Amino acid sequence: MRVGATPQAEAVVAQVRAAHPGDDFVFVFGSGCCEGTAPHLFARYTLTPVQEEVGAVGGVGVFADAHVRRLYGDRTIVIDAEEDPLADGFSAEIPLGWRFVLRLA
Amino acid sequence: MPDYQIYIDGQFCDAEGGKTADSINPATEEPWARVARASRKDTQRAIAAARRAFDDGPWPRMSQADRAKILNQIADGLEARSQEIAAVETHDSGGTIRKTSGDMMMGAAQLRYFAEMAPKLPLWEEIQVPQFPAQSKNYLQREPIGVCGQIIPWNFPLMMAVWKIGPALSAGNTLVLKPASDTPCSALELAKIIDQTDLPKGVVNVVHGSGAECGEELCTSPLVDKVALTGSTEVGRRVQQLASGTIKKVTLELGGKSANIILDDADLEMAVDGSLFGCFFHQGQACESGTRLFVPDKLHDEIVGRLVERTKPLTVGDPMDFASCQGPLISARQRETVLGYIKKGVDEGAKVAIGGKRPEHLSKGYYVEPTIFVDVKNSMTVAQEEIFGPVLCVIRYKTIDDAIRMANDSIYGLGGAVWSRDKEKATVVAKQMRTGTVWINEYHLLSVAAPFGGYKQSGIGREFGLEGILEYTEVKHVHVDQVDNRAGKFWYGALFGA
Repeated sequence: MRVGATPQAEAVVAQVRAAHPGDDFVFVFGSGCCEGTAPHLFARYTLTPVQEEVGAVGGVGVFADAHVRRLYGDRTIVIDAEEDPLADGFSAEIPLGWRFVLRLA
Repeated sequence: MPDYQIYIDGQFCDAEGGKTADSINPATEEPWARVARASRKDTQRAIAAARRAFDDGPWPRMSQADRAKILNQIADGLEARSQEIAAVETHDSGGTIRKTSGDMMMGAAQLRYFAEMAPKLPLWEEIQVPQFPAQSKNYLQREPIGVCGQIIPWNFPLMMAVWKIGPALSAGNTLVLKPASDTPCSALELAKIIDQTDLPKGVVNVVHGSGAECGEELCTSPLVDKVALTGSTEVGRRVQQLASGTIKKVTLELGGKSANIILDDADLEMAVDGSLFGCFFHQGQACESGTRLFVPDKLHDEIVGRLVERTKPLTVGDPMDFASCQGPLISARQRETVLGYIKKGVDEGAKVAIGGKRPEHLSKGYYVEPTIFVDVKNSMTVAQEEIFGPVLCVIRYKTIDDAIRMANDSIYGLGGAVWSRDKEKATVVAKQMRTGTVWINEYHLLSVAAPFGGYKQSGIGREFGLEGILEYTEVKHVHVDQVDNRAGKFWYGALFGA
């Protein structure tokens, strides 16, 4: 899988990093359920051995586990950001009123 | 438009800075209620209240009979207001009024079960241990864990609240419940009911806010002893990581991609309707939904024909109308996710036998037609990912072993079913499925008295039944030595010599 990002997503990543200087961030993906394959931006995240780097957005590594890599195969996915005051995940952009979403290129 | 406040320390109150968020009715796409939106600080206040109620309040020291009485008061209150709260939940979640009405009655019945179990819990029991090297009597004491942070999703808002609050209270804990951001109102109605009972203040607190603020605080606060989440697998992983800092007890009920296997001797009339119920109930927004339907190769065309015919009459429409079989999905986002998966399925070579798009007769609302995919391979995205929408994937199998192998080829293991006239044969198949619940000739029928939870990445721990309540207890071993003289102690020679 290949990973891209919209300028809006890049800008939100920069906003989050500015709000948390000194924190290391990673992007990982949901694997279904109530959140679909939503991208999550987490600080101080412990990667698991099955998660491999598949790209970078705004200087933040994007990691996907074997299951997600297999699902997307050769596709390019694009991380975008939408304004969403009701977003409910644990992702770091949410307190700033944003939510990252996944789009297929 | 109704206003809802958060519930902290026995008081309904505004959130910090008066922050609110509108709750959107998925059938109209319009705001229908305004809800206080809690911050991290509000969550800290709620946690502090639960901590005080546990450390200094009467609740953890109350008799199990008294706890049962209060749980029954909550059940009474829910029963009395069930129709009204069912409507609240339909506005909030898009669940059909048929579904939410049932949820209220089941929620009340489940609370009564947790009440009934309270005095029966094995809080003090003698166990037998080897009487070597010392004679002793041994006891297990089970006691409440303490303050529980509980995070629930939007698909069964009231029942999920009951599934979390019920066992925690039955065992004497205090708690902070965080309902889903999309569906907070029925849990806040439940808080109103709780407020009218004899439950001491601070035992139950309800905050409506994001996972990134309220959820994270519940997972990291040193004042919280246990976190229970129902949600997605990735959020489960995040919760576990955050909770690891303070070694909290964690139970997780996560995603699924459950297998539903029709054997070649099944009563097809029943199996087909049951499979549609297994997948399309609540528009497929249930974690244990039977979304992968395995059918014998030789019966494939007949079963697909029946599935399509029985899907045609399913009415999609206004969830407040008792005639509607299917309501909208929870949000525009979820609708787009589901439509994206349908497109992905088509791209990968699966064929849409029925449905596959937004219903033409509904210009508003987050509706998607009940959709059946055929020619699905178990390796396809639509067969591996949890879509959380009304999308059934039909997969052919040649032998039962084939079906079992494919059924188990999933990162999940939450639900599943087998349909057969031969219940013994079906039981042999059920035993080989790596999943937490298997129904034979039935679907979705969770029992409050039987443990429910996931194998593999579908979760940790169980809800319901004695096992589910014991997840809310700590176990202490009390050893009462029966050797009553110093020189007779087994260790005397080891340390003090002969």
